[in-house]
Amino acid sequence: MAAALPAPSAPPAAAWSLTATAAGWCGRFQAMASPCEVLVEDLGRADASRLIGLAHAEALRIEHKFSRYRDDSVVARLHAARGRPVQVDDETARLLDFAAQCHAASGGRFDVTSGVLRRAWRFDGGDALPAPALVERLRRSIGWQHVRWDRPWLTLPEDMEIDLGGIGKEYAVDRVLALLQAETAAPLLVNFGGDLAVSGPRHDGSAWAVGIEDPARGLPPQADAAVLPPAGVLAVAAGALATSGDARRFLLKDGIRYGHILDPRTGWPVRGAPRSVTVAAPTCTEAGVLATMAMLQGPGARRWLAMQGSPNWIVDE
Amino acid sequence: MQLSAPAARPDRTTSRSEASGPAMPDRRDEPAPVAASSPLRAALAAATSTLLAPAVLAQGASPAAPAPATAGATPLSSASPAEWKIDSAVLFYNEAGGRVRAIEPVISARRTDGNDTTLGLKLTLDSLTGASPNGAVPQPVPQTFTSPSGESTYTVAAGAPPLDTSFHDRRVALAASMERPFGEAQRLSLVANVSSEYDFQSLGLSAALARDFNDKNTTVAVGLALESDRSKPVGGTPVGLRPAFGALAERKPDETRNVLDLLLGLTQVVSREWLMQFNVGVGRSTGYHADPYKLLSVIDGTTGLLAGDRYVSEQRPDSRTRVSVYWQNKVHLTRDVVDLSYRYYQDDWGVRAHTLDARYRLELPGLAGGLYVEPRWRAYRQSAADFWRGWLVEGGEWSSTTHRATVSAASADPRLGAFKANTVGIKMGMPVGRAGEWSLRLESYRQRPDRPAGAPGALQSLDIAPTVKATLVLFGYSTSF
Amino acid sequence: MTPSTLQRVARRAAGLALCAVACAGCGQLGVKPWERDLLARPAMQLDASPVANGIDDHIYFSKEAATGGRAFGGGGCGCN
Repeated sequence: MAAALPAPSAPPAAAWSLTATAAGWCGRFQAMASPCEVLVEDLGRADASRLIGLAHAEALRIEHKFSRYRDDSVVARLHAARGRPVQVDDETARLLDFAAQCHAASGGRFDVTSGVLRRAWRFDGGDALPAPALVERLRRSIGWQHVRWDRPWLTLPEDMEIDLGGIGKEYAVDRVLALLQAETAAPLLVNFGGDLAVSGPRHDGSAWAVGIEDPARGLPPQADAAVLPPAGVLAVAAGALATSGDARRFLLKDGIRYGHILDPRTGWPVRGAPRSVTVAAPTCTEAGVLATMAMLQGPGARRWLAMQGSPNWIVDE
Repeated sequence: MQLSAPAARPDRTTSRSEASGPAMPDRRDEPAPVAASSPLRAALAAATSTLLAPAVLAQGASPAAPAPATAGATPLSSASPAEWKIDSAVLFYNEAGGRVRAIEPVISARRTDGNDTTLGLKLTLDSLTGASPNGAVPQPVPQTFTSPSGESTYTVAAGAPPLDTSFHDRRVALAASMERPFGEAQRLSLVANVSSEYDFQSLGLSAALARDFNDKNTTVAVGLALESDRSKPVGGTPVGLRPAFGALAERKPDETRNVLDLLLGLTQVVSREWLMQFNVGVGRSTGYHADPYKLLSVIDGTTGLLAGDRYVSEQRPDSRTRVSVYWQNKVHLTRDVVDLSYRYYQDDWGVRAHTLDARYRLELPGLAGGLYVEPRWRAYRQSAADFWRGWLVEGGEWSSTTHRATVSAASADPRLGAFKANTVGIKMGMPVGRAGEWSLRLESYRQRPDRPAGAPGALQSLDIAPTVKATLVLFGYSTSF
Repeated sequence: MTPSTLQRVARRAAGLALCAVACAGCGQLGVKPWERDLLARPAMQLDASPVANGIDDHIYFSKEAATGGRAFGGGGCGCN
């Protein structure tokens, strides 16, 4: 009887891994510079594999479409247009609509044109603050009010940039969850580096257990968090969570901590903001915007969130 | 409860955070689905629902991305739902002209557990009947042969190819395999197999190791296989190059043969649509290689009629070294898949063979949910072994006075002669259920031997190298759960 | 085939294999993990139906002199 070689008779595998959990499967992959995981219950391995493959492909699709590091992305196309109008597709148009609404609702604090500030700020845990003149110069290239958005035509002034990183991950979570929900009614949890959404309760009706990021330990929120000694454990039976925090990206100089949430109106990090804010909302996108807006309130984050009425968890300085 | 290792990021923090706020270690909170309680939240909720509205999701990514066959090395120990894969097929094989007919059902079950370890078991049953050539050359008069068991005789008509009609065989074979991850980006595979028929037994072991490189774009594999065969022909093993029947025929005890094979394989992803495999195999077998039931005719060099001792048992060298080089390509077109492979074979018996195998999988979407049709063409040609001859010439290769041959090996087995063979076929496959498939394969195999040169006398007007035609029908069913 | 011819053939085959490995190791060949969608499909597996391929190998092992290629380990049957 002929014996075949193990791998020449089997293909190289995809870049996600599938491991078994007590009630289902956990698919893991890397996307959007974050560890991503998709938990599913009540399905066989083949179905779970298929779902993870779909999730992985969709996450990468979104990442590549809006990545500012790729020269074939929508964002690159916008930047290359140098002030000329560019027609964008429906998905990009909806994201820009959303960005416009967030800009208005936050009084200008939430601004997708603030990405240029990365040229001045490098949050690597060191103490190298940028020169105020540079920050001032870059600040003049920020301001959604200077962008002409006439759906589907976007006209971006020549020295301005669009950065959808602030909502990209949360949007991807919602999209992937919707994509998977169209394929199966099984319990799902989609978690991209701490921004997560669930399809509903777990297979036995109980809530998913999510560990809150403890900035001191620097661990991202995890599902199945029984192994963590967490700063807090949440029971999530519906909706989504998003976390805004500076646990990994900050500068520290003269004992003052500069978080990576930058106020686009000044060009400088928000002072007095909490270390980490986690917000719950029906969708991950909404939760993410609320969390970011809360951080942008600085010391008033707690009060601001209380006014919005969203369940939230704050880890202070 | 399954504990997954946290993605620990050792982080340097100088200030100890005093967690405060609603979520504390001793408190479990549930984010209730609250109604928007501020104008901002209402606006945000509305904006978000517009953003996420489209029910039809962008089909930018490939909509159907089924799991790859092997997931690579991802070990995690747990009690977990295992995945089964059942593969079965039944072959109906029929050669024209009353030749070999075979029915061969095969069933294989493989189980993959949470550690990515696959255990497999495969059972093969082989039932052959019909007649197969005994190596003698046709004659213008009827020929009578004694069956290998010595208990009966069979007669072959004048001009007809001599076929041994007492041929029937039943074989059972079992193979057990284990595959598991073995180190970083490596996979180990072990197979043990045993096969038994009434006159032949075989035992085999093989081990192979495969390693991925280049982001799993390149896979290199090394394999080693050992096989030990025992031949127990009915009536005893004939000593080679002795008269086949009568008092001068000699028998010897059972014979054995051992085989060692080495395989080096390279799989390379060339592009998103193109996968290539390149294998080099080297093998060496020592021991008894002859077919105990085959003989050669001794004929007169002028008349072409049987002469002297008439039939002589065949003899093959007691070692064989072979090399094969195999190249396979799979290319994904817009919807269809092309499979093209070539194999070159050479051994120290003088056989050189080229095999070209082409398949085109034509997807027929919209027809019964994923039906596909796969025509296939296989072209094969081989050159004869050095010791192959159509017959022995009395006074040339054989002397009936001494009852000995002047050559050290001789065989008239058509399988070692020079011939061209073609397979033309079509396969139809239909996915069923979640991961199953029905398939039906119909093929026609034609083997056209080269007519041996220098056929003397009466043989010139006879069909001494008849074409073999065979039809294959293969029903298949596979499923996983 | 004489031992020296066999050595020549074996050396040539090994040389071919090494060339293939060298070419493959270029790193220009290959795809990113997210480009594996087509390669993951069942139709693109090199050994998509191992049972059917095993039957094929057995048929040709019993009717032809050449063996090997995709798999190895011989026939295990007495059909020579």
